[in-house]
Amino acid sequence: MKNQSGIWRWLQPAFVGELLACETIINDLACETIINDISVNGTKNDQEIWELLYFDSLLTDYNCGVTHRQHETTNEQLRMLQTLYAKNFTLFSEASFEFSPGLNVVIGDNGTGKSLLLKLAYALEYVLHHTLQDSLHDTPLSIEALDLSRKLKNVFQPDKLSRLCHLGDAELLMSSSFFGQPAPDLTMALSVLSNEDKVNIQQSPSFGAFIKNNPVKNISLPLFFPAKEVLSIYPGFITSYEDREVAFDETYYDLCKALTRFLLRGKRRSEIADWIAPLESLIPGKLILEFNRFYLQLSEQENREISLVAEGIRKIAMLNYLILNGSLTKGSTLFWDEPEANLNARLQVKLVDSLVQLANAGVQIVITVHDLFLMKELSLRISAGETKAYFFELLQEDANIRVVQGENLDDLLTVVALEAALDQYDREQEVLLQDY
Amino acid sequence: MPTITEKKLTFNFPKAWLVNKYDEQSFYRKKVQKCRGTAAVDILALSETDLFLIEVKDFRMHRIENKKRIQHAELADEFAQKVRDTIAGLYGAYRWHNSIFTPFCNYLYANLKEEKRDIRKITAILFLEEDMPPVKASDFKVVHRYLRENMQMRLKFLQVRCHVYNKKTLPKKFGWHVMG
Repeated sequence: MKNQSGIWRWLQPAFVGELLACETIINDLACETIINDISVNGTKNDQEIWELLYFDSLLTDYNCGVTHRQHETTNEQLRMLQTLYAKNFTLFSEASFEFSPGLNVVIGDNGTGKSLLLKLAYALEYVLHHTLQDSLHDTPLSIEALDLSRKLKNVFQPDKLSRLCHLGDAELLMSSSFFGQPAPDLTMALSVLSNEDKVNIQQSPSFGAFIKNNPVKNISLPLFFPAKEVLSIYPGFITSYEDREVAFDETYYDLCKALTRFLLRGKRRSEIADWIAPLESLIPGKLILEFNRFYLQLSEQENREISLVAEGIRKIAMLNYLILNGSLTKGSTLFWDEPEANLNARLQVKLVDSLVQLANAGVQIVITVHDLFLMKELSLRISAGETKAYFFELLQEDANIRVVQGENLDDLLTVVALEAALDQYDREQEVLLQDY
Repeated sequence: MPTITEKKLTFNFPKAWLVNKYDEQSFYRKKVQKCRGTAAVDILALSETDLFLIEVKDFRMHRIENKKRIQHAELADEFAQKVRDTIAGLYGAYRWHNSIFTPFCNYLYANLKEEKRDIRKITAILFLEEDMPPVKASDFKVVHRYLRENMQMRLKFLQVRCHVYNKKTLPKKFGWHVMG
């Protein structure tokens, strides 16, 4: 049953009641006792429910709970994206990036590959997560595991995978390291063949050898926020995506799936209280999922449909909800394309409060920024010593994209947005002074 | 050449211009200031076609002495109030037939034809001199721009044009210059 995800989908409504009951039990009683009890003494039905709980990514949360108990994971075991090298991939003829375990800010003109970079890093981390996750739980490798071709196709949506190659075969190299450790501990090398529709994976060390030596290590499931929020398209999106050809790329689907997870409770809920504090004051209510639709609960009597809530507030509420349901957690990477879209300057300042807090708490954040105000706000926080970050600037040089990297905005060569602002100042002066 | 020294800065105006330190005139000291809370700009400068109200802020070295001094949003409010009060003060001088201010008052209020009122330009300038590390010069341009917009919003009701300049950015076409 667990290998046939289709069955899970149509069984889901029937099991919702039981799942909720399990959730209550698991939350209220010692987890291990219940698990052992169900797997040894439970009825066949109970065991099947537990299997579903255990294997479906909907409830990965519970897996984490169990893993935590068995292997006392510490900060040192959180693996994060460390370096990325791309050769002949889309716009990049050759580019390498070294990421900070905290905040990473990517800036550049339109069409210099900012979103491509985020999507590539996301796809790689996503596949690595599923591969390690499946090996960890000794389950047969799922459809997500090791299949980078599928993920690249669904995230980038090219007609053919070879369209992602720039000139000749593409080579990708990604390394991840444990939190706070300088040396990468796992490197994955891949190549996309320019004349074929497949990805060759050469990897060092092999997953088998790696997992054997490090039985509990995993990379968290990354999250990708597209520039548009997904709360309003959530109803029915997952089913539509699975059953039909949908023009949205898979990042939307993954994000909707992350939203389906139940909210954390107990100790793990209280651990994230600080994280959500700067966000909660901005949301005029509580985000709730009812009958598969999101609402903002303004009071006990009044729920506002999410489509009637301002888009900026929806984005903040979505971030808040993903922290509350454990999707965004210590060690996970958040890729966020243009977080400033739909946000007023005042909200942008609050958003930076939250990003700084998340980065300092151990969430790796990679964002693209166009807006000068947000860039300056981030730069200001770094100058003030609130957090550390890496800034990446993507520059179009002839047919190539050049990457300039630094620790703050003023380490970069040309900030296009700043130049445009100065140019506007000059033109404004001309107009203001024309009749003197 | 009329010259006015304000703080450590010297303002040089063309020969034919009329200039004075508005806030040091006895009319302002004895009459206008009785209205509590009244503020004033530092310099009035009048040419045939323009009236400049100039407020001078010299924050060089202030960054170290008194950090709180440069709060740009407050600066915009303070500046707008000074310009508003100065124009009200000049209206007082007009009604009192104050001789020192006669040319200024005439420019503002005398022989106004209905349709020509707004032809008499009033330009309010915040002359803001700050310590400026050369690398950050572009940042100051951006800040001045936001500051100017803030001031302009506040003074739109008087049809006053607002600008923020320093020694380096002051346009030549104004005809006057600053040293110091």
